[in-house]
Amino acid sequence: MSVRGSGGSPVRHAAEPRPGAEEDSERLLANAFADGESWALEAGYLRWSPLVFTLALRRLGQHADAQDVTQEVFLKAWRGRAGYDPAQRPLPAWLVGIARHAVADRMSSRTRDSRLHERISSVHHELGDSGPADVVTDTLVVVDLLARLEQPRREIVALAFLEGLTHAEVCARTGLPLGTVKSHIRRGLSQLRQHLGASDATP
Amino acid sequence: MAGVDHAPGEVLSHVAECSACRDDLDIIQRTRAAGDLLRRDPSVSSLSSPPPQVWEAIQRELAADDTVVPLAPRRTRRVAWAWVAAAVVGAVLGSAITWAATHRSDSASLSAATSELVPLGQHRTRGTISLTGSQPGAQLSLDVSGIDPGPGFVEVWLLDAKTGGMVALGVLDGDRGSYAVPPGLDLTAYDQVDVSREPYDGNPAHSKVSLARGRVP
Repeated sequence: MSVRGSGGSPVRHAAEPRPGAEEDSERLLANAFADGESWALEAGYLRWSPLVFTLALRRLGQHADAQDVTQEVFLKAWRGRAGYDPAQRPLPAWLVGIARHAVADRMSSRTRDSRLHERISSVHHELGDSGPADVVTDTLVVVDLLARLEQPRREIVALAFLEGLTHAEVCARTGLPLGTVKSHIRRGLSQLRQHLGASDATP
Repeated sequence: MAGVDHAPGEVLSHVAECSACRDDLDIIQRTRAAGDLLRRDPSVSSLSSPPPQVWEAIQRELAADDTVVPLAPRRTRRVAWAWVAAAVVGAVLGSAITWAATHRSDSASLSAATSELVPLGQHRTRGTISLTGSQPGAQLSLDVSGIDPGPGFVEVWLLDAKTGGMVALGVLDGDRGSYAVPPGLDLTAYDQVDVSREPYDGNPAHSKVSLARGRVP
């Protein structure tokens, strides 16, 4: 059987398993958010405000600042929803992108406030704008995603990506056949990519 | 490259031969770093919720927005921008009138009659109904606040209370809408405006979930 596509490039990506119910409901919510249905703001807030709030709290260390950032993120997201394309990014990835910037802005303005740290300020600003995504934010995004994955994908993704086990080791640990493990890993990687986004993703 | 040898072999070989998936390597390494952090500090895995006043503040801010910029969904963005422009000019004239003025050349239509849109039952949807011009060619505008949230969409109808006849004028997107009244329709018979919530069920009939009603001005 030929797998050559009409554009001349062979099809390399194997078919991914059907998205689960959770993914369907997230997509529905993201589309409703982009369309400006007000219930979607409330539902999105209920679902992802803990993620946004916790990452702001971890990075900034102060409750009041983390509350301000959470408020800012959801207001910015709602007011700027015309610029959000649900087909390009999951809603939580978009919210986290806005949160990264809000946190970076606050950190650089904190540093700016202190005259003693003027030189550090410029360095911080650069890091905030173009530096690698920070590990704490990535970790929270991964934890939030894992919590919403259904079994057995949750366990397979944790074993393969968080612990770095090989396919054979994941099979041995879970007792699942190789084909099943492979397809969940493939789909899990795709979800990680969507939710973590590029290191320098802008909202 | 650090971390490469820990990544699942299948994924690695895929990345090696597929240039479109080079980013995956970055994702794998970042996820491994997350795993390392979780092993060092398991407390990172617990998320905490913001206190209720954060949501209350968001709602307050957006309620203030409503009076300046309508929260129209993007599929009607052009209409929304017309409204923004209208709202700026409309500080004096009233935005419904400005809207009519930008869409009609006769200055006679610059006098709009208004009436009140009143919530029904437990609902909170309320607002103002404006009528510009007269039949044939009348234009009905709604300016609504506190729309009761729910799935589906909001639709605007004209109702003849005596016969139970209903005519759908269109979908209400955001807080404002402007609708051409069908030219042959007798507004002395169809003298009520009904705002309903409609499910996406493909059924064009009224859902019987009326949020608010008012008289045609």
